[in-house]
Amino acid sequence: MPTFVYMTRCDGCGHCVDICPSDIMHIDPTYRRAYNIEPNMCWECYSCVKACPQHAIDVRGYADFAPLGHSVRVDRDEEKGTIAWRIKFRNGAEKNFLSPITTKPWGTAIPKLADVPAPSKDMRDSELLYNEPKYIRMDEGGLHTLESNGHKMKKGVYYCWLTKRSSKTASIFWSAARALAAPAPRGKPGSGARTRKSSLPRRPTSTAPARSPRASTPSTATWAPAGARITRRTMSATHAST
Amino acid sequence: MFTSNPFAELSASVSPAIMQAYVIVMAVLVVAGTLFDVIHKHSAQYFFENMRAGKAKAKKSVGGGKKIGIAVQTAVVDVAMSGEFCNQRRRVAHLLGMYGFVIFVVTTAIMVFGYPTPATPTPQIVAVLWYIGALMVCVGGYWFWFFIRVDVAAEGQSPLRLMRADLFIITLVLSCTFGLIWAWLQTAGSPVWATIFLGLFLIDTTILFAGIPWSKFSHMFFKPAAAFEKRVGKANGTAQNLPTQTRDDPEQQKRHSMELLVKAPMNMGLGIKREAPRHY
Repeated sequence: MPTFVYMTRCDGCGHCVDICPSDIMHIDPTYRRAYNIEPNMCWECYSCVKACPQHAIDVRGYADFAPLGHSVRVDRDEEKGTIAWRIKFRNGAEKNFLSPITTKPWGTAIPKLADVPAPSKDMRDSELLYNEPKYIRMDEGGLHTLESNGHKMKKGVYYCWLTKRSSKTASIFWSAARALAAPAPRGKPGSGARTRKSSLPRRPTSTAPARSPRASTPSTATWAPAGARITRRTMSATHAST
Repeated sequence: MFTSNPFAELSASVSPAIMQAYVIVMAVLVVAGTLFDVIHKHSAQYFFENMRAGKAKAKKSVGGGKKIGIAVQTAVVDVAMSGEFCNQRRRVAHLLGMYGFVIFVVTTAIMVFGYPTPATPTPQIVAVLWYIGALMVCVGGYWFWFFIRVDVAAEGQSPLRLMRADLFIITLVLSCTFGLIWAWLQTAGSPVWATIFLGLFLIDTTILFAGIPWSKFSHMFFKPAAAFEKRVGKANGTAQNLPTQTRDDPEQQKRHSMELLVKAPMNMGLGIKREAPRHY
C-alpha cells in the first residue's frame, strides 16, 4: 500500500521529494510537510522511506499478508554503509536484517569513464546492439552530447524566489517552455509522426553511411532544444515517439 | 543607541507599573495558552499513553539514573543545540532565533522590572544584550523566511504568501523588528514615529503570546518531550519499531551479511546527503 507521512515527525527537509521516482512526494502548501499527492501511483519502492532522515514515512502492508499489528520499518545508515530492516509480526515475532549498501566509502569508487577505451568498430557492429538506438551505437561518430548538437545546458528549476523574480532569462525560459508544453498536433496512428518533431532543431548531418532503414531514421525526437525543461512528461513523450 | 534601555526612556510617558503589568499579562497568556493547547490537542495524554505503551513493549528496563542521563542528553543535544535538524542551515537559523528570543525576553523582563526608569541606571551589558537578542531573531528569522523555508526554497512560492502556520514565525520576527525600530526612533528623537512603532510592537507581541493555541509557539515545550520519548524508546529497545542493529555492534559484525564490510571503515561518509535536496 502507498506511503504515508507522520506529519508530526516530518520537518519538510525535502529528501523524499527529491528521491521519489514517481514524483508523487510533495510539500503540503499549508502545513509545509511532505505528503503523498497520488497514493494510487505509489510503487512502494521504499525510496522515500529509506531517505527520510526523521523516519517520518511509513508504508502499510497489505492486509492479507500483514494484518493489523504488524510493522515493517527500515533504517538506512549511510555513515555505516548498512541498511537494517525490522519486521514485527502480529504475534510479536520479529525478524531483523542488516545488510551492506556499499563496501567502499561513498564517492570513492566512481568509475572514470573518460579513461575507459572507446568501443571498437567490431563492438559497435556487434549484433548485440541490433535493437539499440543508433546514438548508443555511435554510428555517426562519437557520443552525442548537448555541445555536439549545438545546445547548452540551462538551469531548468528555480530553487529560490529571488532567482525567479530577478532573472530576466527566467521569464524568457518560461515562455519558451510554455510554448513547448503546448499540445502538439498528433499524427495519424501508425503514420510515424513524432511529437513536436518540427519544433526540434536538426541534428548535424551524418557523415556515416546508413546501414539499415532503422539506422537512417532520424532520432531527433530524443533531443530537446536548448532551454527546454526536461520533465518526466516530456521524457516519456520523446521515448514513446522513438 | 545600543547601550540605552528603551523601557527607561519610555517611562517618561508610560508608567513602569503599566509596563510591568503588560509583561505579567503576557507571561500569564503563555502559561494559559500552552495549557489550553495541551488539553485541547490531548498532547500530554498522547505523550503519557505512548510512554506507557513503550514501557509495556520494552525489551530492556530503563532505570531512573539512565532516564536522568537521557534527560540531560535531550537537554544538551536536542534542546540546547537543536540536534534534531538535519539541514545545517536550518539548524543555525533555529539556534539564532531560539537564543535570540530567549535573550530578548529575559533582558526585557530584567529591564522592565529591574531598571524601569532612568533613576536606576541600566547596566550596559543588559541593554546591549536586548539589541543583540532582537538582531539574532531578525537574522535567523528573515534568513529562514526568505531563503530556507521549504516552500520558498523548494516550490518557489512567494515569501509574501502567508498561512496560519506562519503565525508564530511572522509575529516573532515582526515583534523584534518593530521593537528595534521603536528603540532606534525613540533614541533618534522622532516621538510620533516612535509611538507608531511602539503600537506596532505591542500589537505584534500581544498576537505572539495570545495566539499560542493557534500557532506553533508551544513547540518549545512538546518538542523536547518528544525528543526525550524518542531517546527512551531507543534505550528500552522499542525505538518506534525501527531497527536497532548497527554495524559497530560486535555481535552484528559476526553476521554473514557483514562479511563484505569486514575491511571497510566504520564511517563511510555521506551518500545522498552529500547534496542538499533541491531537485524538485
